[in-house]
Amino acid sequence: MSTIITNKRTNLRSMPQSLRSHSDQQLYALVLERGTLARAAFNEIYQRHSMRVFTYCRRIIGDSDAAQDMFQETFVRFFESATPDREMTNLPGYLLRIARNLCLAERKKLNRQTVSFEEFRFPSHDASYDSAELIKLVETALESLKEDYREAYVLKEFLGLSYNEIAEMTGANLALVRVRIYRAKTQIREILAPYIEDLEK
Amino acid sequence: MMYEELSPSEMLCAFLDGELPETQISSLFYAMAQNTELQAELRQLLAVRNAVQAMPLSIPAQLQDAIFERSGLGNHLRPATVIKSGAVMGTLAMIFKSRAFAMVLSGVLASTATFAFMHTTQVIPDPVMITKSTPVPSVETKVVIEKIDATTSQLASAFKDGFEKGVTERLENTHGVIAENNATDNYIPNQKPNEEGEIVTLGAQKEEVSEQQRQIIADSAAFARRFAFKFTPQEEVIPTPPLLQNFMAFVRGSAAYSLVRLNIPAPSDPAFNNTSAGLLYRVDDRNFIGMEVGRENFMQQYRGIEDGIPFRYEQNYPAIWGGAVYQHNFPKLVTAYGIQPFARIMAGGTEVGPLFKTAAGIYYEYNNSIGVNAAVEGTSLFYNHQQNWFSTQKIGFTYGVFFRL
Repeated sequence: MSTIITNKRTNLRSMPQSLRSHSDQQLYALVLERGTLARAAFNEIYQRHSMRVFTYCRRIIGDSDAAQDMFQETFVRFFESATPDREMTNLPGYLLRIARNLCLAERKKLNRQTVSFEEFRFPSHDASYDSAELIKLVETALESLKEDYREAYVLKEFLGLSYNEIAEMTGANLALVRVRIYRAKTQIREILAPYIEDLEK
Repeated sequence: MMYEELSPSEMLCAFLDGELPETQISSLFYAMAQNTELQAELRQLLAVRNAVQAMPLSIPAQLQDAIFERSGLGNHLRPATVIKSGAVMGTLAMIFKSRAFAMVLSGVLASTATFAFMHTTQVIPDPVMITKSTPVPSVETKVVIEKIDATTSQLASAFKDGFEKGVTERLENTHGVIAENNATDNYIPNQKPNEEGEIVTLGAQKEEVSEQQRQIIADSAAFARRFAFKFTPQEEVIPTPPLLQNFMAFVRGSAAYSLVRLNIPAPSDPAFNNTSAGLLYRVDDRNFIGMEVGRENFMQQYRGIEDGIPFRYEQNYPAIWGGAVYQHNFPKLVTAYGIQPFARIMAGGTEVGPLFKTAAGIYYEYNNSIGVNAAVEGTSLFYNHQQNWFSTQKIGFTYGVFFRL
């Protein structure tokens, strides 16, 4: 497979069109071969799935630096774990599982002291909040959730996974996933209820 | 069934997630129509969802590099900017293989041929002829004989020194005539017959030189041609030009047409683009050497392979160049107007590879300090990528001003 691309822009060369049309399985096979196209295939995988993985790491861990470390580690381990005996049917799910395992371990290592929902007290709402402050409120509300609730909520609200996909990834049954999501949304809603008007703006 | 046991709130949550079966949706809408709290809950859930999904998140760029480095894949794909040149031997090999070498060679040959055919060799003056009837015109000193092409001032000084020191010197043996000089306090050599009976000169006698004899000496063409000086000490001496007067500075601009046609604008318009400046040293009236630096754009087209995929790269590259210059001036076309043709070659390089220029044109010297020139110029730039050499050529017009320092 060889392509000659003419780029009439100064000092640029672009990705070959052929790799963009490859499926995840085809890209994984190229990475597996460790051939001349491995880097380009890995780069394409990164471009496709990095935002989902980064969002998961960032929303689950909360700490920015730790989330970046786990994000890096996810892709490095993905590359290192690419072996011929591994059948890759769901590459994005595989990446998220790697990220999940790393993030859960990291949270335990960090031993984060989170304020439980029952103990959570927001400051009195006597002034309008700007967007940065509201974002901070939402992030803090996320941090107040239990880990199971937060993970289910992040997978649903940020990554758009279905209940079945969340169940498959977390190992919980469908009903449990639904309950976790419902309870997470309820708690966040109750936390942010006094600021709904600001949020709606 | 799972969803039949759900509360209206739970049904609402599942509905917003797209997970509520269609058979349950009508029940939910009926409940919402009857329950204002459920309506408020819907509004709140939507507000929170919008706020959550609008939260900004971006991946720091350095993370990608770090991932590729740790995976052993090196830097991820980045734009090519500057192509580094190869080895000197590769440079020389490319020089001889390139079609532009003909341009350089023609310039070198043209200059060499011009120099060979038009250069006037030093004329050896005729020796002093001594005949029987003609008095020996003058004396010469040791210094004068040894420095036959010395300047007038040097000869005048040497003559005076020799005259005062009384050096005895034997002149060249020409036509069987032996002439001796004994430059004591007079300068009329003695004459005596040699073995063949011809009158020869011997040492000078102490005789005062008459004004007529002085004039004979001064007017003697053969004597003046050989010794290149005049008797009168008050003769004007041509001073040696100071070193700086041999230097000439110049600036010039150029407008060239690239033989590699690409529809790419220059990435920027750097200062002093398509201009150059330099310094020339006058070796003699016809030949100059010096150095020049400048900047101009080059259209580049080259090929390479990245990750097994052949690529062709095109770019418009602004290059700073520098090199050594040789210029040869031909005889003036019209002496009265001072228009003089010239040929110039420049050999140098840029940060991407060697560069050669050849030019032929005319220059006009307004006065001893300033002049202008115009020429047709060809340029070749060579550059290397992945062990392959490429070249780009330009041809155009150059114009400039030169100043004598």
